[in-house]
Amino acid sequence: MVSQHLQKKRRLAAARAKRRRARFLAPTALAAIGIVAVLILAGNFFRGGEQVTTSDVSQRNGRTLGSPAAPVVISAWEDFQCPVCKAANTQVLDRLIAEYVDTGKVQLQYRYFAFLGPESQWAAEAAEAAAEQGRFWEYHDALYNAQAGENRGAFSRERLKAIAEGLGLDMARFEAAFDSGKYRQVVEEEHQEGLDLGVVGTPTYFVNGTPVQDWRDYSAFKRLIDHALGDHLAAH
Amino acid sequence: MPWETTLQRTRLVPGALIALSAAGLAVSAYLSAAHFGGPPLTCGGIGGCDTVNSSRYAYFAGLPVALLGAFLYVTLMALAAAWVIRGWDERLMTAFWGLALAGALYALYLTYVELAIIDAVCVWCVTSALIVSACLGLSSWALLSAERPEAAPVQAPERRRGPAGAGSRQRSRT
Repeated sequence: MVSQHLQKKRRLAAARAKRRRARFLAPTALAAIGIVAVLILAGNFFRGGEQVTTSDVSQRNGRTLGSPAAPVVISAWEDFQCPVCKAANTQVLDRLIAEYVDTGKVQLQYRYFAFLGPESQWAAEAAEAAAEQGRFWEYHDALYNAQAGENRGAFSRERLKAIAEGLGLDMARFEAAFDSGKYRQVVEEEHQEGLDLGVVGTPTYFVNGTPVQDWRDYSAFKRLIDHALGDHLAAH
Repeated sequence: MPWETTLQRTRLVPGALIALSAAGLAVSAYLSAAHFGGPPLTCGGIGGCDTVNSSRYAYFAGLPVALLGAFLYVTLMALAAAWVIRGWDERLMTAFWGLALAGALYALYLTYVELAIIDAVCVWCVTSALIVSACLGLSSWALLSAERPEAAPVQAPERRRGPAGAGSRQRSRT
């Protein structure tokens, strides 16, 4: 008797629980899906519609240049020892920066593809140590200006420190970071990441993930960026 | 009801949920810190963390997405702690489940963005996605077990006076 009574109670409770589940779980799941949909749509909206403030323009945040809210990202895979990279910077990138980065349309991301030898590796590690002090882009420019052949001492460890000193970096902090070798892995991993993305030489540029076929062709480069910006506008 | 006791009196499940939320909070705090001048991200030998974390998808209306994750995990942790402190409450657990579902869906979207758009994978972001999915899985199991009496061991009536736990207090309320 007792067990029959218990079983009946259990059956009733099970039915009640089922009704409870129907009452709460389905609307909760719908609400969760709705929230995520709103988050994704609103995120896309904000990324496109966000006003770029003056302080965002050319903000120097690590190895990126330009607004993090910019709709288009150019990733620049370069090696500091590569003379063609230097040429690309002066002939093409500086113009793109003035036209697209400083106007908040594009964010430029510098990526290490240190493949030309030990001095490439050291230069990238030193640049990372400068980035720690928020001075990456100054150091980047100074490195390109100091180019003098490959692995012939232009970027010896001593020279790299002297370049940092010339820029007035906090030398105790710079040397601690550089000498510890703590950025060695970062640079090596990034090299591997570049290889995985299909980078075979420098400079290699990607516009929102699409490789730029010939960076020397400025109008083609611009078309690719404008196309990416157009896609973005069309999406809104 | 007695069948709820095994699952709901035990602190193993809410304890695991608290631990998972705490781990998720640690990961998202680490990722958030990188946005506010924290240490550079260590990327577990894979790379790509900085690419992902500095991409435009890492921001929601100017706020780092990692910070949203941190808020989510704090809320999940509070709800799981409420289970330990105040006892099983199906509404609170449903709220936990709903938030974990939203978190897991959003993490799924972000993982898609990493793979398809940014072309880089951030191991910490994937860790967070796995953690929030585990929260979803565990809370789904907790909710469903609570509603399937036949799946839980039967408790003899004379043992119902046993150690009063969270489950028994809940019974008097419903």
